Amino acid sequence: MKHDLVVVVPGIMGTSLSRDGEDAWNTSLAMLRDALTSRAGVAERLRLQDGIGDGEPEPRYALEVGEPIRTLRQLPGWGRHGGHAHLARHLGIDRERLVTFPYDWRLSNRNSAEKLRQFVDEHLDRWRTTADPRRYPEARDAKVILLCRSMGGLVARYYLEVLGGRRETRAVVTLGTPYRGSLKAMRMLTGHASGAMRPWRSLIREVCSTYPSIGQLLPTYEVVEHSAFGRIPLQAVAPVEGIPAAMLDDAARFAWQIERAVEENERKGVPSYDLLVVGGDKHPTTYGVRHGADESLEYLHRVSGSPWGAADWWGDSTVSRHSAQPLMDDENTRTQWCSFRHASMFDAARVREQMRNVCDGRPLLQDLADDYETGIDLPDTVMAGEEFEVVAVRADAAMRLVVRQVTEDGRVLAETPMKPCGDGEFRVALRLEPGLWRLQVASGSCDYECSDTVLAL
Amino acid sequence: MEAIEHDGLVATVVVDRYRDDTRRGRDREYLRGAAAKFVEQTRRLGFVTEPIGVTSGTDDTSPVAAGRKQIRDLIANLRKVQASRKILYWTGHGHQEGDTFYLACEDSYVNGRLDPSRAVSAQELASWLGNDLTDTWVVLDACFSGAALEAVEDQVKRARNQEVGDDPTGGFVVVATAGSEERATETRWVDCLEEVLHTPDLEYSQHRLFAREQPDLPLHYLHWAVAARMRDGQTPRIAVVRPLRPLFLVNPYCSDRVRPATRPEDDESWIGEEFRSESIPLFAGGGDTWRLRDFSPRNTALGPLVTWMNVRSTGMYVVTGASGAGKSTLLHFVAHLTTKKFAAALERLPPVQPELHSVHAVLHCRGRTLASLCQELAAKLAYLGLDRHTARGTVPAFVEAVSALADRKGTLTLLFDGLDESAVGHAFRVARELLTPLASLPRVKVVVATRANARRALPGEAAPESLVDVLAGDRVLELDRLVETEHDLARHVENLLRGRHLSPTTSEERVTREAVARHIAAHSSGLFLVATLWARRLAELDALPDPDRLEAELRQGATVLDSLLAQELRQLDPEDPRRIRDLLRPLALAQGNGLPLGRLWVAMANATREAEREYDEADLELVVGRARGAVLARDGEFGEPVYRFHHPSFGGHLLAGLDERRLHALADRALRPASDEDWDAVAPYTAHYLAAHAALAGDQVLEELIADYRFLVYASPEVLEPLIATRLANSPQASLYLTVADQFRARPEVSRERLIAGRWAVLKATALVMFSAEERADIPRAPGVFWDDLWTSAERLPLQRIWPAPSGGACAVHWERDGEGLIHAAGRGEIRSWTWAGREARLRETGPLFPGDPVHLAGVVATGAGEQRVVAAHDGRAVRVWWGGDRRPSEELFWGGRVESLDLARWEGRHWLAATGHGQLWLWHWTGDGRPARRDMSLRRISDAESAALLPLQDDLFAVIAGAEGIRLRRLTGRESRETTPRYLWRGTPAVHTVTGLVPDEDNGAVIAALDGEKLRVWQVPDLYLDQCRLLFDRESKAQAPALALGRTGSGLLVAVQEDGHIRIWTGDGVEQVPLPCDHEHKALAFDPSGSGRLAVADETRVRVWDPHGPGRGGGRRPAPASSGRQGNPRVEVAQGPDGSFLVVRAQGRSVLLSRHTSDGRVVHGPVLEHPGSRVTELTAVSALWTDAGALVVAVGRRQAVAWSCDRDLVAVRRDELPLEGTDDDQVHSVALHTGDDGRVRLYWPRDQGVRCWERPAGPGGEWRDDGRAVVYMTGAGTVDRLAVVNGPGGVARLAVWGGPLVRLWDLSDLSAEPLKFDEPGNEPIPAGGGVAGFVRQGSTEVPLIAYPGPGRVRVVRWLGSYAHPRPFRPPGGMVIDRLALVGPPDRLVLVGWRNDSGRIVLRDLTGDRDLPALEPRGYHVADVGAVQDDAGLTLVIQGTHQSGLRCDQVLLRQDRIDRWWEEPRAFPGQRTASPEASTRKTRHEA
Repeated sequence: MKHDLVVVVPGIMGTSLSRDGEDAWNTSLAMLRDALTSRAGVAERLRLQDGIGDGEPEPRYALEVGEPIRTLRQLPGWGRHGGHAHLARHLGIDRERLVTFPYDWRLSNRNSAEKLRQFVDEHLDRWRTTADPRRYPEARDAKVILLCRSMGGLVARYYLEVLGGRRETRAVVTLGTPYRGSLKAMRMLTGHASGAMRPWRSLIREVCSTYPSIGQLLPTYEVVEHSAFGRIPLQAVAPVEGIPAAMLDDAARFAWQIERAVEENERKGVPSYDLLVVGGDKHPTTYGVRHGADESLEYLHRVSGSPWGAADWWGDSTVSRHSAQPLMDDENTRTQWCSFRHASMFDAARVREQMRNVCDGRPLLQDLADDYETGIDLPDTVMAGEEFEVVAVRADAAMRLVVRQVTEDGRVLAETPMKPCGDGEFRVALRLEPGLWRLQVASGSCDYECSDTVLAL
Repeated sequence: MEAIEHDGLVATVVVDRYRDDTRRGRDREYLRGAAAKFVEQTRRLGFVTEPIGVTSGTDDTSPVAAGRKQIRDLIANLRKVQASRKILYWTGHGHQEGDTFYLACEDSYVNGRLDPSRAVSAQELASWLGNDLTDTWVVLDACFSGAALEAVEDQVKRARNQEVGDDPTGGFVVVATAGSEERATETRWVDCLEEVLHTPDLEYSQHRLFAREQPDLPLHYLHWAVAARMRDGQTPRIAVVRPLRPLFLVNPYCSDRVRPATRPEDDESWIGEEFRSESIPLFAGGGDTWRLRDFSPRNTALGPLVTWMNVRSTGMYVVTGASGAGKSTLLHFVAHLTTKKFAAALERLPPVQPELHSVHAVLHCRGRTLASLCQELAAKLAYLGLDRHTARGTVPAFVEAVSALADRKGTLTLLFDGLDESAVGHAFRVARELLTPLASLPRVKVVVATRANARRALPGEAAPESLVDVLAGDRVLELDRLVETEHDLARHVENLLRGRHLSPTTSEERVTREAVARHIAAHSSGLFLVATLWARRLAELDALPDPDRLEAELRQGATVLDSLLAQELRQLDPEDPRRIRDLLRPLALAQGNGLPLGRLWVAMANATREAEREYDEADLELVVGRARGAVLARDGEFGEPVYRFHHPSFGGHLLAGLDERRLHALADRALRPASDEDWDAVAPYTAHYLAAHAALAGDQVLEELIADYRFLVYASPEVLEPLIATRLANSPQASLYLTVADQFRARPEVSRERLIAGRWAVLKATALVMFSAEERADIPRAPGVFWDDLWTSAERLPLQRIWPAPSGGACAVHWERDGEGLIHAAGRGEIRSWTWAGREARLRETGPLFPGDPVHLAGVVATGAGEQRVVAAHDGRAVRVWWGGDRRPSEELFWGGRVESLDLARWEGRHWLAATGHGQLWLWHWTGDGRPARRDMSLRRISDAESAALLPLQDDLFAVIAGAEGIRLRRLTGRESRETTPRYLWRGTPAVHTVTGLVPDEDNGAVIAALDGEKLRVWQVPDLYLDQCRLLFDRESKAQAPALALGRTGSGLLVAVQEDGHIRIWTGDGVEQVPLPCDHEHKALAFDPSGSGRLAVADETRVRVWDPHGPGRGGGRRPAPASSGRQGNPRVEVAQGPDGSFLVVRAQGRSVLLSRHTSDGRVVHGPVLEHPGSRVTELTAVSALWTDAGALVVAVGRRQAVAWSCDRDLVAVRRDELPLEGTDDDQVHSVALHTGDDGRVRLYWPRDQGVRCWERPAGPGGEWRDDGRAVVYMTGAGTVDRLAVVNGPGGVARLAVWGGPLVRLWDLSDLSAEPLKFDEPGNEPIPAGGGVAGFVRQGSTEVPLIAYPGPGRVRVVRWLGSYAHPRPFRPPGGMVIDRLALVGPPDRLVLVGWRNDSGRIVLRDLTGDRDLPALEPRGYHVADVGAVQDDAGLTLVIQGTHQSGLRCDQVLLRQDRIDRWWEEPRAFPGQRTASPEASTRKTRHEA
């Protein structure tokens, strides 16, 4: 509603974390090179203490929580996080109505949810008492509307269901939230971070294994293809190398706590909020693994001849379609699928329009997706100068697909046609100079367009 | 100009001391106090601004303060102030000098005598005030002041006329506190005014002066109340020069709670589409519109209505008149007058205006059913916070919701137009069931515009009373009969002609125009439509004809209208005049809002056309294009645009002289789908209104239509049900439909597909208990109903007829013996009567009810016929008697008692009325051919009477009287003088509360039946003159008064009582018949006295007449009553047999009913076994299995298990009692039988934390043994809550045990091995009662599984090796499930779920984790489901609750139909899988 306060809950990398005034997670090329040469130092700077649980970091591991990041960030192996600059303007709502919740996204989501609760209480109270009564005559009865990116949706969900946030909340939008986990988190923890170079993989594993938040992103759905039991959850085949049993249990407990709280809230008749779940379902997305008593861990690929159905392999490139909505929705929940990739959903014009509709209590757009089934697949991190592939799937030759290399300021540096390779797939091999690049797959004959960033090191 | 803060100002003139009056004889110092008191009172009346005034000086040396000049200045000041209400109060001396009345000023006396030139005459005072157009009240508190009235009145009237002419602006009222020849006692009037204002409950002339809900205090009411309080010798007088504006005086006792509800200024949801536009198309084709604002000439109609709206807070105002009288326009105008924009745009405001935003809903009844009108009203009031869902329940519940809304938000004003245009058969229902109850709410005002009679009447239907009679509004405005209407019409026509002839007019032309307008007005029969059309004709002429020519051209009355309408149509389609008539005729026949452009309309037009050629859609578009405007209006229905006549008179014109029945029959045929299969594709109009066309074509057509079951399912119950109820008496389909119609009502949250599937489910399941197998064979296979109804345990129900109950619910019913055999049902303040065939007779009413004072009639009786009919009813406090066809009672008998029972008989020309109350029988009797009047009534009283019935014999009138000591017969009167000593028929306790008697036609005997709360007793008294009687039978019965009826059929006596949700019926020999189910608490019963065996039953919502002896039917005889001893915990267990059959075990109370079934529905009934435990009222656990020898059934009551061994023919051959150790009150909720590989039979039962076992060796004759030790222990759990044995693949059997938050599964082949474990993650107790266990295929393995229901979830736990993997799912549609069953092999394992108070049964494929199609509710609540799978398919045995009489049905989901669930998993609709699928649900954003 127009008088409600809008709170943005960022995801991983959404808040700048610094130490002594220096941005700790600024993945500049210089910093990344440093990391390769001084891995231990970087790891020490970024990690958390062992066994932190839901608690606060010890002083030596603590980072200062800064502003919501305003520019593009790339977390190798996970993806990018677009900035929050000019968010209110982009959403078309008054600036004073919008606040962004900054938090240390390394910590347990329970910890962050508790901070979100305090943040909402404080800002909502302020909004109710200080909003201009001429413009917001009903602000005294205002609630909050949460706009959540990726993992921010899990933080919000915990706050809403477990910490009593339902009563203060009118509506929630989650974009690409991995409700049932993401295989990318598992890859990071097992040293298989996709796209990241090998030296980086072990660094990522070392650092991220200390982050409770990453553990809480482990898949809780039936991710394992088992020779006897078919699809089963990770817990059924534990231990999994690289994933401590406690971390696996915590992921399951975190999901279960929310689910049980939802049930309890429904039983007590606590008024619910409108939940708009926006997920992606067009892009190849890693979904399953093979693992068993006699089998080592193997990450399955959509073309690796796995027994999984074709439909299982689509998502937003980070979050599988299967995981992109709550295990159980209710009559206040609506899921809409869009064509955008995980990190770019928040920036997509249609999604922003939809968020504005939610914020202003207007009727929702019926559809967020475009008319194309086509999705793209590309690594998020590559070695500069080395060849890598960009793939478009579910396309046809008439689309005349090309890959454009776009600079940060929007100039097209190069355009390369994609070549058919059967089954509706088109590929192109590219090489990039060091830097953060935006690659755009576009059609020469229709308005299809899809882009993502690649970090070349 | 000076502005003041508030808009009401009081000026006072106090002249209490006079100069030059040395003796001070005229001084009246206390007049200052009077003025101050008056000012104080006016503050309470809403004049809060600081008053202005002059008062005499206190000594003669100071300047004159209240001399003539000062007073004149004061009045000039008063005039200058910008206020909307003013009061001038003058207190002092008054003098009558000749013909002139003077008010003395401070300096008016010279030498002790009045100098008129220094005083103020009445004329002067009036002239000083006269041209101030503010509403003003002048109080002259002085001697002889009455003499001033005439002068003031004349003067002000003249001044006002000069200023504003006829415009009634500027109200002016003068009150003189004394007559023209009376002296005024000082301060007396003000004192009385104060007293009046201090009496909040004051009533004057039956009007409550300070009703809390009225914002306004009418001045004349106040005046008369003050006058009534003043004693003789001083009579205040009032002169209303011009009426004051409403709210001139504010009611000081008005409560905010009863102020009008606030309507937001910018919200338009309150106003119906028909009323939204402020301009009305005038002439077809011309594009001209008539502006609503030009309505202002009709002030004579508007004034009373608006005044009523302004001052009343409850009640009904009825605007009536012939078609075209301007009813709709009046409502339209009033509605818009409450909007700021419209009121501001008026050139001249009407004299009386409604408060802004004071109308809260305005809607048109055109084509509306009762239900749809409720829904529309709910939608209109949603902006005030009314929950739209409230309109989906019963109408009384909706009225309650509106009442609660008014309590919460303030007084509501609701405008309903076109009641006479309601859907066929609905106008009277809307009036009685919705509008009248709304208008009787304390804070709801209803304005209704209607013609006197419904526009759409069914063939042969002659309403016994008009809609206006039924509405019984407290004001009725007959628009076309207003004296002023002709004047209004003339102005209206003049306006139209003036607007049309724009060229400058000469005075001569003006005179002609006025003459023509007057002529048209005089010949339009008060109808604006006629005048408008006539004016249109003339407007097209170059010059206006003179009145003589007009006279010659047109004839008078309705014919004028007809010829004008014909001309209007001719002009629109001059090249083919027949075409427009043919193509518009369907609109004259159309139901609802109108017809959508397209095939449907063309089909109706071609079916009913007069022309030879067929029309196509191009013709239609051409005609509609031309007629759009004045003839056709665009509207909407079913989400698409439709067209209707702008004025219904066009429809009447197009049907004039035609056989409407035939036309509707043709329309009916044209609308029916070409094939029976096409019902799903028919237009919404057809599904909704085809029944109305058929009914209008005649009963035969309707009967033929409803013989098609597909139509019944697709038709709108709102339209069809009342038509069937009132038109079709003896059709099985009609009876079936009336039984299911309530459950056919639309549930908006349900998709259409599910709605239709649900209707089929109910229809088929109901037919299962009403129809024979042959009859059911005619019911077609239905989409969405993927099961076959094969068998039911319920006895076949007789057919029934159903009518809606009178308002407030039917508390009493009576079937008259004389006359037409009417069935009378009494409700809240009214008695409705029907013939058996459903024709409704005249309504009777108790009279106006006070809000919040419901008069529920609890007993009704009748005797006689026609004009000699006497109907009596009581409401517990009074007995009312109606005579002949009177609507209101002729006599009301109050005697301070509490009436318990009532009977009425006519014997030898006298009527005898018997009422019991306070332990006495009161008997009134009067001659039978006279209207009952108390003065002609004789009264007798007989003591010791709780209940009584009259027994008229040939020679004597007897009464059977139940009192404290028993039941006695007493002769009341007779042809001869005889002994009247009563004879006791029965003596004993407890006291009988209900007695009734039945007298055969010929002999002197009677049958007497009585209820005492414990027993029903029925006696035969062969001869009332002899001291002998015979108890026919007695039965335990807890029935309460007055639910007892005696009747007879050709085969003998029938006795019926209402008890425990059933109507139990016995024949005279005490044999109980099939009980009749009740949906509600039935209040009263009555058999058809003519001996048909029909039974009328009244309840809160319906009056039903069961027809046990309909064609080809007979009352079923029941071997044992279902309602005795089978009350508790209905359960069903199914055990697979070796030969493809299966055993069904039904536990009801302490009984176990066995039967052997096959999957094709063949059933062999077994014995009814009774648990022997004397304290056992219900069986808490049942288990059954087939052994080689036959069936083994175990049932547990308290701590006693009983094992029955039956042979293969289900003959019980052995019974073993197996005590289950433990406390007697600690109930055992589950036991499990299992046959091991060794052939030994084991009965596992829970004992504390362990599971114990009774064991029996293989083969016959083996004894049961229990070694006293637990076979397994469940550590960590408080007690074992539930156990089950499940057989798995490869002969594996698992014992599943639930306890607290734990579940354990032991391998029965090795109970010492570690069990499979599941610990509830939150360590919370598992609701084990609904838990089930089984095996399911997981990958390539079959793994054990349990499932249990939780709040809003069902949890399924699979064991993957030793890891327990819980996976919850939410049942589809948010349904809460509390019981589960598993059926099917592990690779097609189906979970069945249901809830006790829902009839829906959901299915889920546990191998694929997805929802399967659900079994929609079958019309009853489901207590339990047994399930079994074989080659034929999946059989469900569905056990109903007591609500359905413990009905149990067997349905089969045929294998060939459910195979596709697994073979083509995406081929069936409505599935949801556990993995996310696209969700299209709407959130509140889109609601």
